[in-house]
Amino acid sequence: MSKEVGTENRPDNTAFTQQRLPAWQPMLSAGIVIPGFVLIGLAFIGIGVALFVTSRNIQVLERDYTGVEKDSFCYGCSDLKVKNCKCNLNFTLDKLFEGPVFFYYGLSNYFQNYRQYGNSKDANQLSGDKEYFLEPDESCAPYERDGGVPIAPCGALPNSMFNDTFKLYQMVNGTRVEVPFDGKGISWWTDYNIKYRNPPGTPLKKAFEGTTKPPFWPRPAYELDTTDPSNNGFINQDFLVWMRRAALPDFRKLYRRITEGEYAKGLPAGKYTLVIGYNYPVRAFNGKKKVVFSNVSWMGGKNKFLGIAYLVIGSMCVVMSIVMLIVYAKFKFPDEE
Amino acid sequence: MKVWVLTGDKMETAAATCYASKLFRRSTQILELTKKRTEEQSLHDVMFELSRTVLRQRSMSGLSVDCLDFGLIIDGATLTAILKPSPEGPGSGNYCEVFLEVCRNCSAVLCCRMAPLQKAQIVKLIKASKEHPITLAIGDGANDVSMILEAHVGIGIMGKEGRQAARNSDYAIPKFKHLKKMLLVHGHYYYIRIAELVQYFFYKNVCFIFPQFLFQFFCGFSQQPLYDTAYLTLYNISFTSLPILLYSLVEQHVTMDTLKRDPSLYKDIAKNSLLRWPVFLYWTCLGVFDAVVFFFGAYFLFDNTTFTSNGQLMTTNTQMMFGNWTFGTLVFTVLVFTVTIKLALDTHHWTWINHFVIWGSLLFYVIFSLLWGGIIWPFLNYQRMYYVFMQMLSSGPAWLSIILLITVSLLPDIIKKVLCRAMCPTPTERAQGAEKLTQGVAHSTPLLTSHRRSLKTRSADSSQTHLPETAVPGSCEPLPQKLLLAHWPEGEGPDLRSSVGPCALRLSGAGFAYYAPGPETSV
Repeated sequence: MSKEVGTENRPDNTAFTQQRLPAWQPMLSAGIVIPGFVLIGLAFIGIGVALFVTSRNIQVLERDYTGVEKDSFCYGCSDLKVKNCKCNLNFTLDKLFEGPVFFYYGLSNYFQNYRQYGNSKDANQLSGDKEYFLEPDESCAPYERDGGVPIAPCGALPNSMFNDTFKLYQMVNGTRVEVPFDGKGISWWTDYNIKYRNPPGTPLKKAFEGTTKPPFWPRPAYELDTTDPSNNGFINQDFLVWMRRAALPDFRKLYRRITEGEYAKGLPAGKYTLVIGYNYPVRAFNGKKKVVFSNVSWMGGKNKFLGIAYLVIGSMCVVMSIVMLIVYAKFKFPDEE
Repeated sequence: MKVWVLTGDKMETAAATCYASKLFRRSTQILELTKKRTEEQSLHDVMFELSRTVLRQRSMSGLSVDCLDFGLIIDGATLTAILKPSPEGPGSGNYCEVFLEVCRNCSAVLCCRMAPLQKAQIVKLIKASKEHPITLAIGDGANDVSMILEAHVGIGIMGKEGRQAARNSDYAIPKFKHLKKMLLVHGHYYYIRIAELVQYFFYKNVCFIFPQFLFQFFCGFSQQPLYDTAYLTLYNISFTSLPILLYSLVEQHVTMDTLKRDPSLYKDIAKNSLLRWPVFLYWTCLGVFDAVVFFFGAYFLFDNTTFTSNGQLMTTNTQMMFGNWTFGTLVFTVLVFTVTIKLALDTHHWTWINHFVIWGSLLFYVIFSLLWGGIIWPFLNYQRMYYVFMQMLSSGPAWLSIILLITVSLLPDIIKKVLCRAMCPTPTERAQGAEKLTQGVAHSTPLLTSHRRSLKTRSADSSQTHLPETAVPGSCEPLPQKLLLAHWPEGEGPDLRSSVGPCALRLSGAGFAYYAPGPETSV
């Protein structure tokens, strides 16, 4: 066989096809792994300590107000026989609750992450598309139409919006002083400015013509906040906070911040009364409601887990590096004894 | 690995060829099972005499230092007699078992005067024997075709006798000498790569789906997906497909030269050892562990806390809440990074392609997430992912938890690798360590996979070095504890026979490795 005939079938002789590419061949040798583990361990321990200490300095005040027990202060309201029932939560602060103070409401055993419930909304309606006002999406059923009239906003998710109200008073010299709440910017900036838009038209009531309010709401969407037009309709901050579905059945949502006036530095020590407008029914499904006061740090709210986890993993890394050092010494040096 | 020669030639020719190619050495005791012998004694007597000879030798192996190895010569007619069912009735069976027993104790078998069909018969017999070995048949003529078809792997040589053998084979090579590289290098690489591919695929999908499964316990079993649809679709297609694909094309756990020099490395992967149940269970348990870490790590970070971001992108000092898509995206981010970095840790041979696909995949994931969440896509009828990724990244605790969860997931595997390499290194790992040292020695030459040249320049200074004994199961001679190793001149590799000895690997004269004493040693 001549050489010319043989070479025409010869495969490519490039570095890639002949697997001769230049390569780096690292190996986890003792010289790299042991110092690496020590470094990582020490770094994690450092971060863990910082997180743990920061978390310990965060103050949290949590009070359940479902009203299950007879002697609970909200027991009278919990069966919801009375409309606009009010109950009072009294608490005392021993020392300054440093600001800015964040005020949350929390729900338990409430599955906002349930699939059909969470998908039951019309994103087009909520972005202000008027076409979808009169023809809501089918996923909103059974909260699509109320007596033949389309609902805006439709769906189970908006319908079940949290509607308890809270007012905080401090007892100063026997009189009640209201602590001002700040409700601006409690939802995502992108939700407020881009994702959710009111339908075009002024006044807002006119834009919502031909639709009706969701069955569980006391007032229609264009009356969510009559005092502030930039907080009305679909861009109401409380509404947006509610629409961001919680990940787990036990969750908290931001209600207000305490940052103004003399409370900018925090809540001074003293007696306080929280007047709760109890409207939201949770007892039917063994849910629980609570309020939480918390201050925040660079790492967010109180979270012991992160600090502890970093400390544990950091110490484990250090321990493992010592073990590996022992193993390495034991297995290397016997030859040379 | 055992080498058998099946030929149609006469016994004397074939035996001479075997001596010439060092299949039979001078010290090999030749057992004959030929027509000539069976004419003198009955087949029954011959068979049992042979089996007694080999069994006696085996039982004596503990006492003698230098064990004899046996070579068997059998011819076609005798084979027919052996395989014929016994005329005394089915109860007494035939001599197959005895024959196979004798063959097991021989280092090489020569079958001469074989008709093409008998070649296939013998292959079939071996395939059905007790250990169910994997058989490879190589031939170049039309009379080898039946054997090539019968064996597990058939290799045809495109030779002077035409293309019949090549046409019927699984692999065709132009010359017989190419078998060596094919068997020792390419076959080995192929197995390593495909074993890793299969195990990794199961692992990464377990890591992917198990958190979704766990999430169902916390969402009322409502089939709420943890991750967004785009992530569900693209995980196996875009985010994690290229790294393993390129791994299985270019990975070389030891270099080609090492594999050619030290053929006994095949024993690390013999009998499908990388795809057996224990290894598979390890990978699956690792996947489950990682999935549990991802999910519950994120769960405890999200549970009942504010888990807020500082919102420094758009506004200052607001504390915004994370929702369920942020939770899912956090788990998904940890997932993609962990499985990719796991593959990076498993890769021994980093070419520019590996760097490109591994870091490129991670970069692609980040860029895709930013784009997917950064624009209100008109074709979507939901905007649930809008800004979720950026919001997650703008939170300090989210970054800290991502780093923590990735580290925790990868820690057990790293510790296992390092400890196993230190405490009970396999021959492959030792070879890798030896390679690493030789690479470190050769400073002047560029880092190429073939570093034979560098070794040659160093031969003048090569010191007498020690190699720890490699574990050889079932050897019939104790190997010397320390060996004096010599440099093998370039171009003269060890021949196939001495490399793939019977049950013992003779290290002297068969291969070499460098192991310089000193503080630096591979763990």
